[in-house]
Amino acid sequence: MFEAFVSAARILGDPTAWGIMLIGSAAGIAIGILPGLGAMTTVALLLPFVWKTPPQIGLILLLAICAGAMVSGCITGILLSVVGEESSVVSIIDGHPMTVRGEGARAVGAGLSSSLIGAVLAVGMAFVMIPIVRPLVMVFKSSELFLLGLLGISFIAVLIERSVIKGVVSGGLGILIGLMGFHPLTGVDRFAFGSLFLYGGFNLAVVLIGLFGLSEMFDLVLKGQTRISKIEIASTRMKDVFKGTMDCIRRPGLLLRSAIIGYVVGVIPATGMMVAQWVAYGQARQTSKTPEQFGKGCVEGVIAPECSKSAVLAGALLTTLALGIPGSAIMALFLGAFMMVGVTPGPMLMLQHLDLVFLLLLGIAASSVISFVICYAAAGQLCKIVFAPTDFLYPLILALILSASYATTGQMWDVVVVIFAGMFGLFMDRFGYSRPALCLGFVLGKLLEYYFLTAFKIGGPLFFLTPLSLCILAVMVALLVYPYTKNLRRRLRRA
Amino acid sequence: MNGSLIFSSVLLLIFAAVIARSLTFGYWESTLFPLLIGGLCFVLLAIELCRELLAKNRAASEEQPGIQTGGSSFTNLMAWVSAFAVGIYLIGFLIATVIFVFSYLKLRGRGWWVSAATSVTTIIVLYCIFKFGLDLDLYGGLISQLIMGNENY
Repeated sequence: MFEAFVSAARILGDPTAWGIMLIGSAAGIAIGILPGLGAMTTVALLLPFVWKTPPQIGLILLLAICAGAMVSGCITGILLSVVGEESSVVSIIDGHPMTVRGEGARAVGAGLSSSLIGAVLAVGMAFVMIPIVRPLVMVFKSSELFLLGLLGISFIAVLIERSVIKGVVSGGLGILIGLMGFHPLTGVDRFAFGSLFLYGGFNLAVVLIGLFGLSEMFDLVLKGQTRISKIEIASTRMKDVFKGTMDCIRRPGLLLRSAIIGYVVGVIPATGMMVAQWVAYGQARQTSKTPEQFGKGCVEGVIAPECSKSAVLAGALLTTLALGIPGSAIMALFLGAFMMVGVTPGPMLMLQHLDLVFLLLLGIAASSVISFVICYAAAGQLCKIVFAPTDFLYPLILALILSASYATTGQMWDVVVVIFAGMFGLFMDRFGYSRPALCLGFVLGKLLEYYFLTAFKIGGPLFFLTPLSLCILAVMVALLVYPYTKNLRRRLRRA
Repeated sequence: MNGSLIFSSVLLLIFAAVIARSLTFGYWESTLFPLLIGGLCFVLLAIELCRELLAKNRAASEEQPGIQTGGSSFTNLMAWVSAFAVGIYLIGFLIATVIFVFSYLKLRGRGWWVSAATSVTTIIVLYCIFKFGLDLDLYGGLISQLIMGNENY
C-alpha cells in the first residue's frame, strides 16, 4: 500500500499534472459559476476529451473540473440564489439571506474554506477507510437504501418548513415527477401521455434551474427589489471574505462532523450530495448555540453543507472504484470515463491498481486546493455582483437560464419546462411547500422505486423488518412526529 | 378563496389523477410505487387542506397570503417571460434575447445606449459561452429553419 501511495504522489508531483489540474479547475470554476451550469453538465460535456488523453491525465482532469465547478457553484448560489445542480442547493438557505443582509463576502469565504477543508479531511478519511470500506458498504441492502432515501426527504420536511405535512407532500410530488417516463422494467409509459419528450422524464438540471434560480428571479421582480442586497454598503472586501474563513477555523468540531457525514453518505451508494448536505445541516442546527438563526442567515448553515458536499466526492469515488457502483449521479459519469480509458472499477482495481486509486484521491485534494486559491483570490470581486441592479441582472440571467436549459438536451420543450418550474417554485415558496424536498424526491425517485421493488420482491410487504431497516424507520418516525409532540408538550406546559 | 388553498387543491387533484392513472398501468411493478406515494400524499394533503380550511374559518378577518407584488404584477411578469419564450421559438435565442433585453430595459426607464449596449453584450457573452466555449448550438428559430433549412446557429 505504501508503494502505491508513493507512486501516486510521484505522478502528482510532476508539474504537468499540476498544469492539468490548473486548467481543469479553471474550466470547472468558469463554468460552475455560471447560473444554470454545474459540475455534472461540465463533466458530461468534457467526457469526450478523456478519450484522447492518457488514463491518469484524463481522470485527473475530470476530477479537477468537478472540484472547480463544485467549489465555484456555491458562489452563485450564495450571492444570487441560482444553482445549476444539486450540489449547491442547501447552502442557499442561509447563504443567500447573509448576502441580502450585506454579508455575502463572509458567506462566500465560509463556503469556500469549508469546502476545501471538507475535501482534504475526506481524502484523509478515504486513505484510512480503504481497507474496511467494502464490508461496510455491503451491509446496506435494498430495504435499507430505500429507507435511507426516505429519511433524507424526511429530514428536509422537518427541518426547513413550518408544515411537516407540506414538506412530506413536496417530497412525494418530487418522487412522482421523477418517475415520469417509461418504466425501466416493464416499459410502461407512466405519466408521459404518449409524449416522446416526456418519455425520458424531465431533465434534472432544467428542473433545478427553474425551481430555484428562475423562481428567485421572479420573486425579486415581483417584490420590486432594485438590488439583490438590500444593504447599500454590502461587504466585498477580502477582509470580509477572510471573516468567513475564520468562522470555519473557529468551528473545528462542526467541520469534522460535517466531513464525516459527507464521507459516510458518499460511501453509501446512490444517496448523493443532497442527503449528505441535509444531514450535515440538520446536525449543525441541533448542535448550534443559536438554532433559531438557521434559515435566516447563520454562517454555520453554510459551513456544514459545503464541508459535507466536498467530502461526498471522496467517499463516492471510493465506492465507485471499489464496487463499480456509482456513489452519486456525477460518479455515474466517472464510471463511463473509467470504462472509456480501460479502467474497470471493482475489487480487482483495489488489488492491482491501488496507485490509481491513491492518485485520484490525491487529485481531489490537490484540485480542491487550486480551486480554492483561484476562487478565494477572486471572491472579493465576484461578490460585487450583488450591487448590480435587478433590472440588468434579471434579463441577463433569464436569457442565460433559458439558453442553458435548451443546451442541456437541445429541445425547446426544456425552455417551457424551466419556465413552468420557475412559476411552480414561486408558488411553492409562497404557500409553504418545500422546494428542496421536491428536488430530493425528484433526484432519488427512480432509484427509490428500484430499491423498493427489489426489497419487496425479496422480502415481501414486510421487507423493512430487518434490524438496520427498523432503526432507520424508527429515526424517520421520530423525526416526523417530533414537531407535533413538541407543540403538544408546549400546550400541556401552558395548561 | 386564498392562493394557498387554491394551490393545495390543485395538488390534491394532481394526486387524485396520479392514483387513477396508476391503476391503468397493467403491471404491478409499474403501479405499486406511484400508487403508494400518490395515495399517501393525497391523504396527507387532504388532512392539511382540512386544517387550513378550519384555520381560515377561525381567523376569517386575517389577511390571506397570495402572490404579493410591490414591483411588477404577476400577469406582467408572465407576459414578458411568455413573449420571450415565443420569441425564442420563432426567431431564435440570439435575436429574441436582443429584443427582450433591449425592450425590458427601455421600458424600465434605462437609456437607449445602455439598453442597446447591454443587449448586444448579452448575446456576445451567450454566443461565446455556448458556441466557442462549450461548442453547443443555440436554437435559431422556426423562421430561420423555414428560410435557411437549419434550426441552429
